[in-house]
Amino acid sequence: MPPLYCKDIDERLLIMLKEYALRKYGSARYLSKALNDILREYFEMKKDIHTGVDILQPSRKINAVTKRKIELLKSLLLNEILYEDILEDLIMHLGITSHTSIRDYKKFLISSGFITYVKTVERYGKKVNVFKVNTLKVRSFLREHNVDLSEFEDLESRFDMYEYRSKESVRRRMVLMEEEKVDSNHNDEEIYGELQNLEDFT
Amino acid sequence: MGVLKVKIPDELDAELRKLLPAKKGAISEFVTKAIMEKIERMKKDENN
Repeated sequence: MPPLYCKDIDERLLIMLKEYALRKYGSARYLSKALNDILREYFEMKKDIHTGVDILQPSRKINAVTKRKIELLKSLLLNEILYEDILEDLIMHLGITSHTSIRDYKKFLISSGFITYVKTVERYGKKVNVFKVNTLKVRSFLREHNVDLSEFEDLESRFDMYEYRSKESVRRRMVLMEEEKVDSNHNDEEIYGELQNLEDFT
Repeated sequence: MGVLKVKIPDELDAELRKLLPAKKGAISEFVTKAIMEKIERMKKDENN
């Protein structure tokens, strides 16, 4: 076992660590054991924040970040093909608004292999990435972590939810465009054409 | 300030080194935070 040296540890913390060792193992001399417990626990928490994936272990407490990630993964099951802006909408549905956090969630999905880049298309005058959702991977991962997927078994409800989300996304964009005083008639057609394309695509 | 010298299992050591940046004081900082947060959690549990 390698030694771990820590300089500059507050004396009060060292006393508290000894107290913890005394309480848990009956002797203040079991500092290594006590610190191992604490580090392991803290390390797991940190790892949760950094990778996102490992937090889904069933034995661990589910925190707010984990809940959001589970919800996001579940919502991916409703979309086989995703435009990046729709993906951002899904993330925002979880109450995440900062650009950095949205980017982090996208990174998490890509680096974990839950979504794969397909191509870049033109959408509303902007270049948008298109992703394919690896539904098998998402599904097996969620199942592996005891997430109830019964609501996704019914294909009809799955389609309804998908349609709802797509239309909701279009509706919100229309509101935004109205606010920007863009010619709405022209863009309505464009948007619904986009929706049709999206449905055809899937 | 005190010095803490303990032994930790190989895999925990490897994981720590993988997670933490290779800079001076990173381990001490991590250990300090870990102990402080653990104490806070224990206090909370005791209050509940």
